[in-house]
Formats: sequence, C-alpha cells, structure tokens
Amino acid sequence: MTERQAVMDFPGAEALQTAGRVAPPSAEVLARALSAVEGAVREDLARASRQEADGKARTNAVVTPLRKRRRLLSVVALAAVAAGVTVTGVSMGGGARQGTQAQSASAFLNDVAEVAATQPAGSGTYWKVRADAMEAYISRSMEARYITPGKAVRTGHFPGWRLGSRTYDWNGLDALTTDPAQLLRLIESTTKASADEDEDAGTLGFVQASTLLADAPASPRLRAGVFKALAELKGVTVVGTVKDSVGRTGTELAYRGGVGTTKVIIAPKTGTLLELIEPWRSEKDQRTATYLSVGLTDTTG
Amino acid sequence: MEVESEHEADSERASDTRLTMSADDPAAFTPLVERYSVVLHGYFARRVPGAADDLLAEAWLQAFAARRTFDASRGSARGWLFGVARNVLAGHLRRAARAEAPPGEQVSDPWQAVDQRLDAAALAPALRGALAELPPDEREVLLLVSWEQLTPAEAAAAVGIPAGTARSRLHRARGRLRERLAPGRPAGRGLAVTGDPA
Repeated sequence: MTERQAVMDFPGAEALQTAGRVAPPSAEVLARALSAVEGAVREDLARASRQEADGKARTNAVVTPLRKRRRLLSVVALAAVAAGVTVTGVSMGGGARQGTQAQSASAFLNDVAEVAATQPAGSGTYWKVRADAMEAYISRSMEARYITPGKAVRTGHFPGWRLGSRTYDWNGLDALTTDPAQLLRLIESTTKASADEDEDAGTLGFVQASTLLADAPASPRLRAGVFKALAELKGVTVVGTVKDSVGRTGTELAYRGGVGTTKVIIAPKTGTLLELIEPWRSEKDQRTATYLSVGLTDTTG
Repeated sequence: MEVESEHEADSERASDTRLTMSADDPAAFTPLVERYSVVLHGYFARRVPGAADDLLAEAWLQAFAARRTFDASRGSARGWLFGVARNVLAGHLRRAARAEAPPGEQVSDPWQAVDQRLDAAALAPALRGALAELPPDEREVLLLVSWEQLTPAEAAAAVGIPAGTARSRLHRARGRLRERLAPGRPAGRGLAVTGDPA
C-alpha cells in the first residue's frame, strides 16, 4: 500500500474521488494559457536583450559589482540549500600567494588538460562530492543524498550540470562532446538571457565550466576538453601558486568579468579543481567552495 | 501524483529539471504549461468552476514570474505549481469576498463550492457531513491528495507546510472520517457511494 492509499483508507474514499471528476479544459482554454506564457517568455527575453544592450553602453562606467544570487547548478550550492546550511564561507581572497605568474593561462590550461586526460576514471555507482562542510552522493538517475556535519541526511533530485544554454544529467555528460572547440562554443553561448539581471554572461560561462570541472562526473576526456576550451577563453589569467583554504597548493587562475574577479585554484599534477572563489555582493564579499575530493564510489555515507 | 511507474517518475524529474532550467532559460518553461494545464485547471474547476479558465492563465503567469523561487532540492515541480495555484485561488476568493461579503469578513476556504459539487455528485450525506465537520486545514490537504492526486509531501509543498505536518493533518482527517463513518454508527449506517442512504 502506498502512502497515498493509506491516507485514503476510509469509508467513502472512492466516492469522494469520483465526486471530484471534472471535464478537461477546452483546447481554446489550454491555448490561451500557453499563449499567455509564451508572451511572458518573449517579454522576458526582450528585457534581457535590452539590458545586454544597456550593459554594453555602460561598459566604461565602473560601478560596484553587485549580485543578488545565482541559480548555479552546483552540487555544493544545492547541497547547502538542501541541508539548510551555509557551506560557502566568506573569504577575503582565495589563498596565500607564494609565487609569481610563471606562464600564460593558455599554456597552463593546456598542460593541465594533458594531465586530466590521463587520470583514472574510477568506478562505482554513485558520484561522491566531499566539500568543506558536507558530502553529496548522486546516482545515475540523479537522486542526490546530502550528508552534513552531525550526519543529518537530506535527499532530493539533483537537476544536473549546466554548460551554455543546456543542463546535463550524468548520462548527458557522457554524451557531451569532448571537442575543445565545440565546448568553447558552448561556454561562450551562455547568453545574457541565461544570466540573472545583475550578472554578466562571461562570468557565468566561466563559472559553469569551472563548476563542471569541480564537481561533475565528467570523463577524463571531457575534463581535458573543458580545460582546453578554457585555454582559449578570453579573460583568463594566471595569478600564481597559492594555497587554498585548507592548505593545499595549487595554481590560481582569475577571470575578470563585469561583476568582479572569479578565481579557481587547480592542482596541476592531477588536474583537480580545488577551490572556486566568486565575488558575491562585492569584490570584498566572496564565496568560496572548497572541494576536498570527488569521485566514484559504491556506497553512500 | 503518487509516482507509480518508472516512466512517470522520470517525467516528474524532467519537470523538476525543466523548471530549474527556466530560471536561466525562460523558453524551458513552456513545456510545463502543456504538461500540467489539465491538472491545474481541474484544481480550479473543482473549487471555482465559473472562474477556472481565467485562473488557469493567471496561475501560469504567476508561476512564470516566480520560477526562480523553485528549488528542486525542496520538492517537486508539481507540488510547487499547485502551491502557486493555491495562492491564485486564495487571491480570487479574497477578491470575490470583498465584492460580495460584508466588510471585514474574510473568505478563503472554497468549501461552499466544494460542498455544492459533492451535493451535485449525490455524495452520501454522511460523508458530506463528515467532510464539512473537518477542520478546513485538514480538509484542504485531504482534497489535494484525493482530488489532485498529490502525495502527502506534494500537498505539504502546495500548502506551504512541512511534510510531517501534512501527514499529521491527513492522519487526523482519516481518523475523524473513519470514526464518523464507521459501520454501525447512526451517521454512517447505510453509507453508499452515491445517493441518499437515509
């Protein structure tokens, strides 16, 4: 007996259900509802287009970067929401810089791509992401299980990973192209319509690609392809060798967008993305997602 | 809907993903209109039959405007959409009450229209009476589960209460109905699916 059947286990339940039967709406009513929404969609897209044009006109007018929030499909972000906790702490700057810029971002990313391509894919039923304050387990059917300190467990459906204008589930990632040129086009296809009102599409594209590298069950070939795509993306620079929030050494890259500078710290020897640091409400108010480990596993929690 | 097949479960998950995507990609929203319009129209038609057509369009516009507030980790698209529909219905009932009721009187429970529907369907008076005696908050989640085919968790999301609270209300409602309609009790004696048992 399902939960619903158990609830409806009283005398007259079937009669009550029958009494609720109504005729379906006419085709005209359905068409009117659809037409109303299609009109709203067109207005939304037109407004986004106008804002993009306004943004270009104001390119030289530097204002304090400000974003309300971002609907990123990130395991860490969604785990935080599911668990009702804040895992992305406020951090002033990404890590402690130890060295100076040694090579171009393009050369570094192409080198990392070669390393990423040779990493073992691993095996297991679940994709596990361990962040600084929680663990998440995602199945192929995209059911997610989040475990927080104190072993509180939340479950939910994980919507997928976004790149450009599309969202990919685990199977979708397997089918995604690994060609760097095509991946770059996907990253660059993040339109203004895909970004919130106070975000810029370039930053969103960079963050989406970085998030995919950080916490998605992408194959070594796909990760290599995304690294190579980022190597061709304009606006990425090497900051230098730094330590992340938990003391791991990596190379920090920066992407300077309209809303501030987004940074990622990458371990060059493994191609692992260690940390993602985003400006949030301002350059001085950053959100940091620290990825302690990701990989396949056969057990949850 | 209580998911009974893998295909249906996949469809429901696809809707969750689509509603999430629509935050960034407005065009991803329109297939949801095709998928859920019939059930949402049914929700309105059972409670405010004369206004269902208009309220359906209003609900979709409000859902589109509020799409960024949907959070797939908190519940399904289906439950969220019924929550929007419920708010639209409440707004309609408030407007109607202001126009018709004496000043200060608040009308937000569509029970009167629901009862008329039950009467028209010739539902056993004992059951009608038992439903009328239920507290409105218990009756509301019961009807969401019975008529809209929502799971208790989806009904909770629609009403904006924790799932545990919805389950408690449903449990209490079922208990009251069983007690009121138990065979052998005068009020429940001769209870028939339809028609007047008295």
